Amino acid sequence: MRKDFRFGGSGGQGVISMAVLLANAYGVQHTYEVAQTQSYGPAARGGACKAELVISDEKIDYVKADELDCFVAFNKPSFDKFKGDINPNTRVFVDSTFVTEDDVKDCGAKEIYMFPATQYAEENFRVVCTNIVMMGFFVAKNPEITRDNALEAIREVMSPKVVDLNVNAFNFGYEKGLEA
Amino acid sequence: MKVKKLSNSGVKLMQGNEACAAGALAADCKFMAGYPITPATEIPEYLSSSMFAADGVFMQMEDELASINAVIGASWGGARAMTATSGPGFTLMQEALGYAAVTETPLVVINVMRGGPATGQPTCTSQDAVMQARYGGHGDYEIIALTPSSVQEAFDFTVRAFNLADKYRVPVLVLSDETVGHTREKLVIPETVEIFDDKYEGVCTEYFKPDENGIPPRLHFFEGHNVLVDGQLHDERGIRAGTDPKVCAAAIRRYCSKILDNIDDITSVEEFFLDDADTVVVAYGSVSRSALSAVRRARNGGMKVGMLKLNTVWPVPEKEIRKACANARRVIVPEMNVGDYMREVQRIAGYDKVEGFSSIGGVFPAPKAIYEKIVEVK
Repeated sequence: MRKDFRFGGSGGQGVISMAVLLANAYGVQHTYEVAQTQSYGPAARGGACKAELVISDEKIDYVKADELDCFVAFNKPSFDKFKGDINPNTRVFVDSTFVTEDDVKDCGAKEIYMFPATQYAEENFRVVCTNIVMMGFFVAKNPEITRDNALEAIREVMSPKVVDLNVNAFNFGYEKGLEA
Repeated sequence: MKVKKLSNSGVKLMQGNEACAAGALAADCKFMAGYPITPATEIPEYLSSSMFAADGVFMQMEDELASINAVIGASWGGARAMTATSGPGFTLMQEALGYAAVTETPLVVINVMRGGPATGQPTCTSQDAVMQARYGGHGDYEIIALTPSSVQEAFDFTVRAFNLADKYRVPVLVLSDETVGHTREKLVIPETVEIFDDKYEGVCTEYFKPDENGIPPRLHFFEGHNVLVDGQLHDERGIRAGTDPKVCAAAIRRYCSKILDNIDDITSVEEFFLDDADTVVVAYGSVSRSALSAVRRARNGGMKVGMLKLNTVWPVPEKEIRKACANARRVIVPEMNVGDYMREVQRIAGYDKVEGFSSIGGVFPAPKAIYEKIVEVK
């Protein structure tokens, strides 16, 4: 079993952080082999940002995402940039705060989840929690790992000062994912 | 070899660059001097915060020239010492690397290769320093270069690099690349590592007199030896002999032979499906993983394809390449440059049957691209 995930957004939206946290959740808190890569422009904020995660129950040869199983888009430019790589088995997660149903309806994905992660983060937590709200939703829809695996990753990777906030943000997204 | 117990053993999620730094600490590296450069910066970043706790010294220098020269000084001062750089920084270090080779100074340079020439493609992956690693400095000397392909190998090969540097008194290069450096994977830090430990005991006057393996005694400053360290060619006492053809010829030959005569001890390769292979892929570094994926796919399709993965590219594993390619009809060398190492393989395996597969411009080749090269009708 090999699964290839891609995360796209703008620099500063937590795209790479989400991929790193999931890599920890799948690889360290669970037993999967993981390979997590990214590419981004030189600017610290803004600019297109892409992160990828491959998980497998065997040793991973090719470390980049190949045939996409999941594609998470945090904004429209990143959705447009990578929509050509969506295949009939791809499940697409978009932040519907910025991407409309019209934008995605013809992308040819297996499933499309419209989830307003930024709006939820702003209303309930802080906008910087957008990626964690999305991560909660994502984990609920990808049951290879448990909620506890993900929460342990958050506790291990994030600064202790912000763990509680992000645990709450994760749980919020996770519950929404169970309902959706 | 002495066995060192590691206090941080276990499974971690790390980038390749962080794994190089962790490997250096595991190998008892006590000095790093460097200058930040993408895509190698995580190495000095990691060591800048962890070297102090390891009872070592980290120095951010004014540039790469100062960095490598500080490393040479630290090595003679008795510390295991390293720097890390990329592209233009590695170019700046070439003169001092020649000096380190001639003064037989053990040190480790991690070159996280990025696209060149010049400033080139700072954030993009490449293997275009593979020839520079060997031929970057003027004059004849040999170095050792290791090519990790994963986060685990970044750790393991860095540990080995320090041991080889001390054993052969030579600069050892870890030729990583942006893909290895910036990929996060699981790293298993072992319970123990082996550390080469062969300190010279007693008083020495012939500081550069080789032992039966061609290697001079392992000396440092502050141990009571009045050793003279000089970039001009010198005799066995370290005295300048730049106009003595006999002494200089012997010195140059030894800088080469101490590596080439011990090539079997230095060389590391891995073989995949070579027994009946009529097509052989020879690959190194990050590309070897894409290549292996392509080779497996071709095998599953019934093709007799095998692969030789080079963990050391300098000195060239000639015997292993010759053996792997002897019965092959076709040899393919995928690499992220215009076909640099392909020429070494051509020299060994035969000009006509060796083809390159070149991926440049910062493109990490996907298995599909290499697979298509393997199955193309010739």
